[in-house]
Amino acid sequence: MMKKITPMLSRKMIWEEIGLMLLMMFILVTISNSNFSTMLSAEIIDATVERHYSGVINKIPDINVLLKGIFWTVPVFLTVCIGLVYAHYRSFYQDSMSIYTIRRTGRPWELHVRCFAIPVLLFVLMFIISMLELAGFVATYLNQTPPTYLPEYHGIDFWRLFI
Amino acid sequence: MIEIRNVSKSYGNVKALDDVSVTINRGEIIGLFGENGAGKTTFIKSVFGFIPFKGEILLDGEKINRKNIGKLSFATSEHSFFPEINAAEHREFYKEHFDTFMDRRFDGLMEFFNLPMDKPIKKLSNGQQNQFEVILALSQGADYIFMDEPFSGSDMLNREDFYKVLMGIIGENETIFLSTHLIEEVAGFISRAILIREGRIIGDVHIEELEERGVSLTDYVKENYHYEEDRVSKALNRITGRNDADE
Repeated sequence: MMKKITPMLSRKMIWEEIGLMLLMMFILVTISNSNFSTMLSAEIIDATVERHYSGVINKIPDINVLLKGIFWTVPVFLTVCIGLVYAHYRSFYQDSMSIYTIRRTGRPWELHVRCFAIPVLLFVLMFIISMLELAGFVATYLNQTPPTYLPEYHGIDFWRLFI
Repeated sequence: MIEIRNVSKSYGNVKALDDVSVTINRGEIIGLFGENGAGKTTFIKSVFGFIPFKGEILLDGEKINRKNIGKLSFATSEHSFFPEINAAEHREFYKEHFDTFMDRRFDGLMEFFNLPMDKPIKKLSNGQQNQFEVILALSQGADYIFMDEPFSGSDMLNREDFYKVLMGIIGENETIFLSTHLIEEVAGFISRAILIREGRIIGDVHIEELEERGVSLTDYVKENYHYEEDRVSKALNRITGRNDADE
C-alpha cells in the first residue's frame, strides 16, 4: 500500500521526510499545549491572588478568549504540507524527466496520489491531534478551574482557534 | 499502426512541426533523422501527448489515452527513470503498471550491461543511466518503442553493444522508432528512414528501395538536405582568407 502512494524516492528518504514532519508536528502540538496551560494557570493564579488579597471573586476569561489563535500551528503545518506537495511534484522533473513515465501509466491519478498522499495524511493526523488537544483543553478548563472562577460556558468558537 | 495526421506544433512564432503526416506500421525499425532543432523530439513528444499539438494521432484507430498508452514505451536522452530508486524498485513499479512487462528481458539486459540492481540510478554513470533508460523501454513489453537520442553522450562501444542487443532481442511485432543523427551507425539495421527538417517531413524511404536504387542512406540524407559538398572548403577559405585559386 505504502509503495503505491509515496513519491518515487528511496525508502530512506521517505521515512526521513515523514520523521521530520512528525517531529515538527510534535513541536507545534507541544507549543500550543504549553501556551494554553500557561495562560489557564496564570488566570487561575490571578483569580486566586485577587480573592486572597481583596476578597473579590473574579471569573477567569471565557474559554474562547484563552483559545483564540491557539492553533496557529495548524495553518503553519498546512503551509509546510503544501510545500511538501510541491517538492514531491518537482521531484518528477529533477535529475530525470520521470514525469514522462508517470504520465504513461494507466492510472490518471497516479501523479496526484504520489504528490498529495503523504502531506494530506500528515495534515489529517495533525488536525486530529489538534482536535484531541482541544478536547483536552476544554476538559482541563472545565474540570481544573475552581467552580467559583468559571464563567458560563457557551461552547467553542471554532474558527477563532486558528487565527 | 500509428497514424500521425496533419500534426503541427508551434513554440511562439517558431514552427516546430508543420503539417506532419506519417504512418508507423507494426514491426518496422524506423530511423528519424534530422539536425538539432529539426523537430525530432517535438514529434515524439506529440505522439505521447506530452505536449499539446494541432492535428490527430491514432494508435490502432483510437486516440492515444491512458488506456492504450501502455502499448508505447519511451527512452529519452533526458531520461525518464526515477533517479532516487534502484533497478529492482523500477522493476516492481513497471510490473505493477504494465501487464506486459518482460521480466526475463529485463534481467537479461541488466546482466548483459552489468548494471547493479541495488544502487539508486542517479549513482550510476551517464553511460549506465542511458543503458538503463533503454532497458526499461525494451522491457516494458510495448508494441511501439520510441527512442529519442537514447545514447547521446555515450561512447561508441556502448552504442555498438546496444545495437547488437537490440537486433538480437526485438520480436517481429515490436516496432522501433529511433530518433538520432548518427546515420551511419544505424544504417545497417533500420528498415525505413524518415527525414525531418524545420518541422517538415522531407523524406520517407524504405531501405530496400534505396538498396535497389544503389543509394546509401547517407547520400540519401545529403541529397534531401541539399547538402553542399563544397561547404567545408568554402568555410575554410573564408576563415583562413585563402582562395582555392591560390593553391
